[in-house]
Amino acid sequence: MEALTAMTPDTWQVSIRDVTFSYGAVPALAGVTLGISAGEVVALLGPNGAGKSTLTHVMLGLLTPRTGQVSLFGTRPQEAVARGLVGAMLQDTGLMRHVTVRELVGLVAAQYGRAGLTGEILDAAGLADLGARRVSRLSGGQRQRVKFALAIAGDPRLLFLDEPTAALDVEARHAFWQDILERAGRGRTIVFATHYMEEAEAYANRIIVLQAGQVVADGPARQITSRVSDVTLRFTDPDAREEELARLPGALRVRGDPRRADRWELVTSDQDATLSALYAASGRGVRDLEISRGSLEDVLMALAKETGRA
Amino acid sequence: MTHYIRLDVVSMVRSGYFLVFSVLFSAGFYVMFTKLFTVSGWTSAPGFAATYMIALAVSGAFYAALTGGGIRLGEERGSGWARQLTLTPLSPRRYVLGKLVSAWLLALPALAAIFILGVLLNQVRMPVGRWALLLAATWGGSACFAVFGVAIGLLVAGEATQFACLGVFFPMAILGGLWFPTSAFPETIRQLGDYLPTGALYRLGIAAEQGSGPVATPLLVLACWTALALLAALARLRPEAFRPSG
Repeated sequence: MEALTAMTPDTWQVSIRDVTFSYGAVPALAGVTLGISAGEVVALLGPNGAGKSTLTHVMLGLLTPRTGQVSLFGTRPQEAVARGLVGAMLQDTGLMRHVTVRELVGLVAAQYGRAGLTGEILDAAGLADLGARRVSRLSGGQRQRVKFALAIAGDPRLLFLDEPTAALDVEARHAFWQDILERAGRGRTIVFATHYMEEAEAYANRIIVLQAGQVVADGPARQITSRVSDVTLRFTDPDAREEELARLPGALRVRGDPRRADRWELVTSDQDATLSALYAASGRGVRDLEISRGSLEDVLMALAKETGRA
Repeated sequence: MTHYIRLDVVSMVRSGYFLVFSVLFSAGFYVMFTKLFTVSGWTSAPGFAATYMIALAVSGAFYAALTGGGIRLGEERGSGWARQLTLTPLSPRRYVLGKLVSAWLLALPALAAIFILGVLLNQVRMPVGRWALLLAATWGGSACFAVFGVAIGLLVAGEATQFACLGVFFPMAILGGLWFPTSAFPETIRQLGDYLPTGALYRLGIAAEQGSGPVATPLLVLACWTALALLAALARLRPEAFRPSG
């Protein structure tokens, strides 16, 4: 949070202020304000229809908000796109027909002045063997990889991904996130929309939760997922006593395992504080720690209660 | 943008159906009425082989430009490919301009193919200067068709574009006198043909071939249609235009 408060709007790569948007009479964004700075990996999390895609389109300048301001790199989204600072992988993206994978990726790379790097781009997207294949002969997963190649063809400083792993199998999904994390490690900014909480938790360092067109939570990934839904810790500790555990910071409930005297179940609202206190206490031999959390639905329900909108 | 135009033209030629309709359709008509059938009062008129050559060349160019500009642009907007491509430094404006140029380039093979058929099959002869003038006039005038196609492709998206383009192509080609003589039509409809871009470019081509004839009116007609289509295209060229129609 220190980093967030120390930031000024000038350093934001994405700045959105009081943005509203509606499709005809149907509201899609109801006053969204947020800033994203360089090197962040941000998950836009929310159920279908929460406004993730609309927000992504607004950030890319593909939709003009009804009210509010949007800027990328301190300028209009279209200008940032024209300068080659942005890459995107969106849903419902058709591909050009009657061309090969290499021709297509080469075309997009050329727009960023990187036509000579087409081979490397194909490698990065796992398409090294498919360069000569006609685009129309690709499988669903292969098409998805081509779309990813198009998004990264310019090695953009800011990358938008809308439900990027939708058509990918487990192995391709893993390779995909490896590449994304490598980019983030080089200071690239990643914004991805997903309705999988596991994906947001595993790969984002910041989560923005959207519901009914509003930001209902925004913060470091761990803070979001633990703040809104209580975390259950299960562990083995032969020396622990119930009343001691109940006094740990953040602890809400403690329950002993009726079958094993040294096995405990502790529900906490602040797992970091609880765990560090638990480990810090001398003589403790905490073993076999398990941490479980609620699902996205639990998170959303908790957030809805918190913000007073069920 | 040149990279895009090149690949767009290549993919269009590879698609096959484009060549079938823009070149083979016109070529078939040309062979049919200059070699196989005789229609008294029409095909037997002096100089018919040359005038019909120009008419069908213009028809082929019209189809090629409408398809290359319109159908493809509409489909690519509908599928989301246009959006993907314009999220690179290739701006929507330059993407559409690229489409316009490739549609215009694609009119060239249609014109050339029918002119070559005229020379080979029917010994159409004219001085080299006239040929050059004819090609320049018909290809230059085809720019109007390319703008037309792009305007349709921006007004209509997805599969509907195909019907919109054909809905423009057939009446304009027929009323412009590109396929059959309009002498059988009522006087008002015949006159209307002169004010269509198809009829105007046809008459411009005839003037180039004969070295005389009205030039100012056809040019003015073409300029007006081009300006009209250009205005329609520019009015539709907004960021929202590149979201796929879900």
